[in-house]
Amino acid sequence: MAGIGFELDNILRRDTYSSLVHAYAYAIVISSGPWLFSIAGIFIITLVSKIPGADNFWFVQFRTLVVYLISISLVTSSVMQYAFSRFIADRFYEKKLEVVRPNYNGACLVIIIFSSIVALLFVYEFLPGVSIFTKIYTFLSLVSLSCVWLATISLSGLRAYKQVSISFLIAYVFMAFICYLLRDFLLNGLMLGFLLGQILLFAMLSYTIYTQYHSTEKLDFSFTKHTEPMIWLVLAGLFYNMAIWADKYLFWYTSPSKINVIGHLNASLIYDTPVFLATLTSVFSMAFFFLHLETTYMDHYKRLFQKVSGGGTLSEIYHSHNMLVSTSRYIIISVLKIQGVLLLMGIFLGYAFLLYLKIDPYYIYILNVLVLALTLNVVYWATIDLLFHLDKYKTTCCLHGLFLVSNIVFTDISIRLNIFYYGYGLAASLFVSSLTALICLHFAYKNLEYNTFV
Amino acid sequence: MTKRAFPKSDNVDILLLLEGTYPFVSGGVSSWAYTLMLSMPQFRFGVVFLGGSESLYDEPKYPFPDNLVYLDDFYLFPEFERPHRPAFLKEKYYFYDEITQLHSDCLDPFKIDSEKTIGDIERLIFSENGISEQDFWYSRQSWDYTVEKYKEKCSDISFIDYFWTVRGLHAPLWRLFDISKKVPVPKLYHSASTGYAGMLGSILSRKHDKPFILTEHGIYTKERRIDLLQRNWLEDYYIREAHTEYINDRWITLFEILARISYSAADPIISLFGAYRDRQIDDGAPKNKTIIVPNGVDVDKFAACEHHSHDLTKPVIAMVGRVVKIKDIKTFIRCMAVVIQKMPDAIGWIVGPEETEPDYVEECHELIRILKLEKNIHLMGTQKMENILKKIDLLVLSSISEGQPLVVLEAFAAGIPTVLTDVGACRELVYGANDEDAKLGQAGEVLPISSPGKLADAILSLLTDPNFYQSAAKAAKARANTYYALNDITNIYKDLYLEKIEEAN
Repeated sequence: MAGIGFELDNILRRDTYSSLVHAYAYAIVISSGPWLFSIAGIFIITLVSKIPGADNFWFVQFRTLVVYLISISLVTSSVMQYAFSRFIADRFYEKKLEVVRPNYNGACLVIIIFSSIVALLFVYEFLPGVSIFTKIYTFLSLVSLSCVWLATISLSGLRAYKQVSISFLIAYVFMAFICYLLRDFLLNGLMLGFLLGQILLFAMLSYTIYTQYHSTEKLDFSFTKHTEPMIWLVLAGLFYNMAIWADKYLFWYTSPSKINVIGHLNASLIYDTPVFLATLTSVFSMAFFFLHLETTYMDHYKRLFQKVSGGGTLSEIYHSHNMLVSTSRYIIISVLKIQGVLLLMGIFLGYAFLLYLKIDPYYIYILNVLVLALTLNVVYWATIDLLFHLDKYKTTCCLHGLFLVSNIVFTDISIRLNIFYYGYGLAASLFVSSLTALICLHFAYKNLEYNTFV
Repeated sequence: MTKRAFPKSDNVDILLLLEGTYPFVSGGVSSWAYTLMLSMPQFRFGVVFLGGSESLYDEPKYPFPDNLVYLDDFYLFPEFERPHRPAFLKEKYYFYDEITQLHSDCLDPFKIDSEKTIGDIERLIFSENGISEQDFWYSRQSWDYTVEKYKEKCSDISFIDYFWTVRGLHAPLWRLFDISKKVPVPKLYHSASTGYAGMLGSILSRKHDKPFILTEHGIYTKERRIDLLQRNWLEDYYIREAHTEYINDRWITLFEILARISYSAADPIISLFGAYRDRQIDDGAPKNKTIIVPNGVDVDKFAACEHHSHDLTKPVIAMVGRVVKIKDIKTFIRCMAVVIQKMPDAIGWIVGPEETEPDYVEECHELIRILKLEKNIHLMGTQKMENILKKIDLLVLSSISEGQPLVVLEAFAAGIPTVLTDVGACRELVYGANDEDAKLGQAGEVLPISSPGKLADAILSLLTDPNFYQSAAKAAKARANTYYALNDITNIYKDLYLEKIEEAN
């Protein structure tokens, strides 16, 4: 299996307009993260299975429940996110592929046990007075979602992006179809469809791992072995996933805009929809970043380390270093430009868009601020990725910690002020975090040789 | 490897500083050190063994005499070579000028002021307030300085090789600092080489104000130069593929500096024979401190091996030494081919260990097969020298490098003439070291290296002329008894020890 960078490179070298579109489409799927894909899938499901003319509040219930499931399962599996994908990627690099399967089994076991506990607590605490079927489906969905994230992480570490994309596509088409068939059962029908879709997805992803990576061992827990970067990776995964949901939870539980949807689950329509729309705008720049990271950047990155370990002179090393820095700068500035265009589009077209979605266009300000926030999010995300390539785990972990704390503090302040400040909390937090991350990246590059050798 | 139980007394008279020899490596210097201890039961000896890395050495090859009261092994290039990284490191920029000055002083080892240099090194490195190993490995200043010097001196060579060479050149200094704090304080230090052992002796003798004697069996800097050219030294640790001339030169410079420091601190500076003494003086040893003390041989033990049944028409000719390139065994085989043409009953023995260079051993077998000499020439492996001397008529050494070969002295004591190449002390041994010595006569022949024809002619002239053979045998025996008797040599060292210890009090 060739690396994704290699494949994307080939596509780009065909050098036609359609090949470029092809490459970007591919990159969008991979980079935007499966969770975004999932939420988009849910919106499509709700659209296809809507019963015209009826009271469709159960749609809101379904959507809210799924968003909660996604956020909780992401945080649950986040302890594994960086650590396990790093473990897998290292073994992939060492070509020790026989350890993949037993460790994947081991990690699945850990995740199933852990997420079952979380799921039990969630169902018990947050869903009082909900039908027993919904409770069962919720419980099982949470466990299978957590497993899906683990499988996705593993396959990304193995660079099997194509299989991941195809599996997600098939599973969500299947899910939409089942939901359509079961729409008469309202919330329970949709939840069952969702559950069956997740199980299918988990099965397909596991099948890929099982068929591609053979092993005589059944179960192995060597991924849990304590190494110094591991602990930072575990914390970094946890902090990041908590940070990206912190502002949403604050809105759901502390803002005046909160509405109770089901059990103790709340939503905040004036915040949730703009956040989702704004996140969609960052898809293109994330894809752009991913594409260039995997091709141009990785080229220079490999060249630099070849120079270092292959006996290059210092001036050759410095030259490769400068190429790497200017590539990084180019990528980040390009990301800003793309987001800038989208921000302008948001300012001019957002009003009409909100009208179309029947959201009070009064909240156009929230959308604009959130598009800005998500622009900074891409910069932050890109900077973090570059720091990861320089093995700055501790720094990354601290930055995610800063993002988490600042997001809680600033969002809380924005909620306490008034509705005009909604969204500024996330934006301010990401501004501080991405600025700090860029400063860290600057110093990481400045001390690259020192840190490599000394 | 489990740590062995070594004697660990603090009450030591003579502390021997031995680099890569006794007790873990067999060879001339190890035997010398072992014999020295055995023959002087009145002194309590200690041994500091300095090695490369621990895995290179196995179990001790020699027994421990009763008067060996202290032994410890230290390794200068351990496998996990980096020191612990501190969480915080204070930069010591105030050393910058001194370091720069010291490096520029050391650029040309032949111009250094050894006293000043060793003082600088003591202050900068061998001191708790100086530059620590952590400073050297991890400080920003150390990195900047490395880069600065790289740009200044050799910006065209592989940086990673330069970096590790710099680390490798300096890292042992802190090992030596650690060692200097751990070893007991004796009445006298005695090192068997310059290099790291000599450096340790210099530092310790200055620190504790004790006498320091240096005995060189070979010339350390010359041996290291050969090692570097053969690329088998430290290769896996610090020097990688690009083995540039510049990097080799840095190592040579280091060893030259260590030699000059040792020569400056040691008194006396002992060599085995005249040519090495001249070499030491060339390398910076003050002439008035140099003396010659040759190897000694137990003349009575080997005289017992003398036999008078030499049948010179069926001679047994032995080459004794490790079967390695430097002994040039192939020249011996080729010369024997010529001898056997004239004397079909002549037998050639190659006596010595065959483990070091198995490929070379195979090449020798191959050569013997090609020349169809399987019946006449035999590789005997390691043998007891007494047993060999009882059976042979002639000893031949075809080496391209020798010091003062002990086997020649042993053959002399047993009245066996020798045919040698003109290396090391061979000329002195055969013809005499001075006019008086020369009067004892010629104990064989000395010929240029890599000349199998000339070697064969000399062997034949000895074997076909019984008078020459007899006179050579007589001269050999007389020379061994007069100048190389072990008792006399031991007494020289004993007197030297007593005198130096007396002086120090």
